[in-house]
Amino acid sequence: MTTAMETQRPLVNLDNLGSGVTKKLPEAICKFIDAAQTATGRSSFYNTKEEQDKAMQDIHRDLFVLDRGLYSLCLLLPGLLDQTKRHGLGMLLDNPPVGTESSLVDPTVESRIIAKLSNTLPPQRLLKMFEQFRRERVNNSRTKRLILRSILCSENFGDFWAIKYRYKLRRALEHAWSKRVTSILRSILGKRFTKNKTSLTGKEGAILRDKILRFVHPGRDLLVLECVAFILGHEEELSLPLLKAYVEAKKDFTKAKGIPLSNLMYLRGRFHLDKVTKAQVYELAKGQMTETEKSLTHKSTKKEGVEVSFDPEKIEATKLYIYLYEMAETLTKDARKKIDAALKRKGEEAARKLLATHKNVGVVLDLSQSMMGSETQKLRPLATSLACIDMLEASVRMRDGTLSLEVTGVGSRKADLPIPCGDTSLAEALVTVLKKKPEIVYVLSDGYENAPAGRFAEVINALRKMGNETPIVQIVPVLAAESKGVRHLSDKILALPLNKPEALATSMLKNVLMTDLRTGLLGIVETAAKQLSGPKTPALEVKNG
Amino acid sequence: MVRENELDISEILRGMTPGRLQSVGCMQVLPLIGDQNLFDEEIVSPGDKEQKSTLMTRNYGEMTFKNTTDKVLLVPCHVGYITKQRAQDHAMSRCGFVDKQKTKVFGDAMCIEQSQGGYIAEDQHRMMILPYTLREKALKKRSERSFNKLWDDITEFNRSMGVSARAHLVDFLTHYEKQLDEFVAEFECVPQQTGAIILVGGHVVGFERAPNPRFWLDVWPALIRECYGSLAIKVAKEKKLPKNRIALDSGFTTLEELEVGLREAREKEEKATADIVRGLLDKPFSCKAEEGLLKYSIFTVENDQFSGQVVREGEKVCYASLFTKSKWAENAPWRESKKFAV
Repeated sequence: MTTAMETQRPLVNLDNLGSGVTKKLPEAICKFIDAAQTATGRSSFYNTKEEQDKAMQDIHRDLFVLDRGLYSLCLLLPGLLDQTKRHGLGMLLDNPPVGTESSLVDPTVESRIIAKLSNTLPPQRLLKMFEQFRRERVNNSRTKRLILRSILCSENFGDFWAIKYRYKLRRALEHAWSKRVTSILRSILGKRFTKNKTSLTGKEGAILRDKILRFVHPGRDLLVLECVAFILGHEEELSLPLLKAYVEAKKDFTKAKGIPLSNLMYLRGRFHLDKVTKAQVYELAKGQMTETEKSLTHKSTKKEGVEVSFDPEKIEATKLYIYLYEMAETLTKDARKKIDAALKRKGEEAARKLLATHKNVGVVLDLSQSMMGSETQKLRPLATSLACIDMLEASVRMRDGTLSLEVTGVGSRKADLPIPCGDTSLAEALVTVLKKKPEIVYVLSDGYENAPAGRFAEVINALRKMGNETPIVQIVPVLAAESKGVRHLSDKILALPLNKPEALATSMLKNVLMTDLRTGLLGIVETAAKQLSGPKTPALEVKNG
Repeated sequence: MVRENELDISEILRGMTPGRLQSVGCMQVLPLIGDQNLFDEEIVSPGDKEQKSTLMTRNYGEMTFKNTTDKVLLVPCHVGYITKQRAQDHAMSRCGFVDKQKTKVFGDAMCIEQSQGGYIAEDQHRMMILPYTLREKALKKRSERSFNKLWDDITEFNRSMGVSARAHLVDFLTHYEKQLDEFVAEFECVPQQTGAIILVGGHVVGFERAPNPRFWLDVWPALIRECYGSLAIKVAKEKKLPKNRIALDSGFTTLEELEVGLREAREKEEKATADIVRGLLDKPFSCKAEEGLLKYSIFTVENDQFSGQVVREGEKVCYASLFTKSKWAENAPWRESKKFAV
C-alpha cells in the first residue's frame, strides 16, 4: 500500500523498520505520547522534579534508540508540551546521526524537523534550551547553526527581544560564537556604537559578514547589528527607539515607555526604588503585556490598584481555569461571564477536532486531593480535567445528546468551582454513571486510587463478566514518574494522557498503535507531514511496502 | 490538673472522628478528623513552610532548633534529618519543645550515619521520622547522652532489610526510595484531618495525633514515608492483602447488584477495621512526665502493646505518636491462633 506518491527515494520508508524494532515500538511510542503530553519538567503531587526529569529522559531515549527518524517525527505530533520539544531538540542535536544508521526517515528530513521545532518554541523556551546546550557543552556545528539562525534569522529578533532577553541572548550567542569570537565582535561593534566612531577595516567588515550578517535577511542588517551591539553591552549611539528608551530610563523612568514589565521592574529596583512605585510600573507596562502576562499578574496589579484587563479568548482553557481558581472570588459578574463564555467557545473549538464523538457520554471526575497538583504547577491536573469536560460537553451538545457527570471525593465549591480534597473512590461513581447508559465513559483521574486501591479494576472485571462492554477511557492529566508514563486504573481500559483538550487526537493514536502498528505509524507520518509541508517545502513521500 | 494515669487510646483520640479507610496493598490508613474547637493553633512544627524555623548540628549527638516564630515549636517524636551535605545525619530520641523566638540544643539526639563526619548547616531541612522498627529502641534510650546509641540498632535494621551492614540510615532510604515515595503518593489527607490510625497487614501499628491540620500536613509525609512505609515494605514481601481488605464478590448480573455489592464490601471493610481498632481503645497506659513548657507537658506513655509520647495541655491531648512494641508484634501469631476448645 502506498499512501502518498511513491518516488525513487522515499523520505519515509516503513520497510526500514526491523522486526526486532517493531515489537518494541508500540510500547515505546505510547510511553512517549504519555510523557510528551504530561511531563512538564516540574514536580507533581506525587513526584519530585528530579524523578519527573529522569522518567522523561528514559522515555525519550527508549524511543530514540529504536528509531531516530520516527522519534523526530513524533516530536511534531500536535499538543506536545514545549518541554518535550525542547528535550527532543536536545536529544537530536546532542547525538549527531551516524551515516550507517537505517531509519524510517531519511536523514535530510531531520534538519527540517529541527528547524520546524525551534520555530514553534516561544523565545523564552528556546533560550532556555540554548542555556541547556551551554551547560551541557553541546557545541557541534549543527547546534551552533541552529542557535545563530534561530536568533539572527528570526523576524521577531529586534529591540524588544534584545531588551527582554538581553543576558540570555548574550550567553546563547557567546556559546555559538565562542568567547574569543564574541570578544572580537564586541570590540568591532564598539567602533560603531560609541561616541568616537571609527570606520571598520576590511577584515573587520568581513568578520561581521561571516559571523552575523550572513544569517540576516536582506534589509535587516543595521537593526540586527545594533541589537547585537546592545546585547553585547554597548549602550551608546543607539538609534532604535526601545533601546534608546531603555538606556534613558536608567536616569529618567518616564522615558521607559514600551519596555517589557520584567525590565521595568529591574530598572525600578536598580535605579528608582525610592522614587517609582510598583503601581507606576504596572501602569507603564500594561500596554505591552501579553494576554497571558496580564492574567498571571492580575493578582499583583489588582493589589497595586492598577486595572489591567485581558482578553480571555486569547488564553488557553487550562490557564483560564487556573486563573479562575485564583481570582474567581474577586471578579465582577461581567468579567466572570466573559471567561465562562470563552471557556465554552474553547470547548466547542476543541470538540470540533475530536476524531469521534458520541451522543451520550458519561464522565467520572476524580476530585481527590492529588488533583490539586504540586506547588509548582498548582491546580493543573484539575484545570486540564475541567477544560476536557467542557470539550466533551460541547461534543455532546453538537449531537443533541447528554453528558452524565459524577464527581468523586468530598469536594466543596468556591465561586461555583469544585475544590479537590480527600480520598479517591472512583468505583462507585463509575457504576452510577453506567446506570445512565452512556455510549462511552471518560474517567478523568491521575490514576492513584486508595479507597481501596484496586477496587476500580475489580469493578471493570465484574462489568465485563456481566457482559457490559461500554468503552471506558481513563484520561490522565499528569505523568507518573514511577510508572514511566501515565498510571492505569485497570489494565483492561485505555489510559490516555492529556495536557490540553485539543491534544486528545494525539492521545487517541495510542489506541491505534496498540491494535495496528502500521496504521498508527502512518498516522504519525501523516500528522508530521502536515506540519512540515509549507509553500517552500516539499511534502513527505511515504513508502509503505 | 493532669490526671496522669487516666490515659487510654479513647482518651488520647478524644474529639476525633474516623474518616473513610484508605487502603493500598498491605498498608491502610484510617484518617482522623479533628474537632475545630479543639485545634491548638499555638503549636508549630519545624517543617512549617510559612514560619521557617531551622535546624543545625554543632556537635555529634546534639541537635539545635531555632524557633523563629511567636508560637511554641514542637519537635515531633523521633524526627530526623538526612541531608545531602557532607554532614552526619541526626535524629531525635524523643519529642521536645522550643520556646517562642528561642534556640534550644537537644543533647540527647543521635547520629544516624556512622562514618560520615561534619555538621548540618542551619536551614529548614526536610523532616523524616525514624523507621517504625527503630522508634521503640530510640525511645528507650532517650535519656542516654551518646551520639552512637542507635548505631547497633540501625546496623541490625539495615541488615534485616537486606541493604547494608553499617549504621547508615540513608542506605535504607536510598535503596527503597521509589517504594517509599509511592506511599506518600498513595495516601491523601482529608479536610480537617489531624491524625490517623495506621494499619499494616491488618494490624494497628500506630496512632498519630497532631495539634492542628497544618501541623498534620507537615508531619504526615515523614510518618507515612520513612516511619510506617519502612514497615510496609517489610510486610509487603509476604504479598498478602490485609484481612480487612474485602474483595468484591463476583457473579453480578446487573449494575444494581454491582452497586449493592460495592456498598456491602465497603461496609464489611468498615466493620472489620472498626473491630480491629475497638479492641485497643480502653487499654490503660502508664505515663511518665518528661518535659514541660508554658502550659504544655510531654509524657512518655506505655502499655503492653504500645509505647510513645503525648503532649498535653492540662487534660487535653494536643499531640500523640504511639507505635506498637516489637514484642507485641512478635507474639501476634500466638495471640491470633484459636484458643484450645473441644
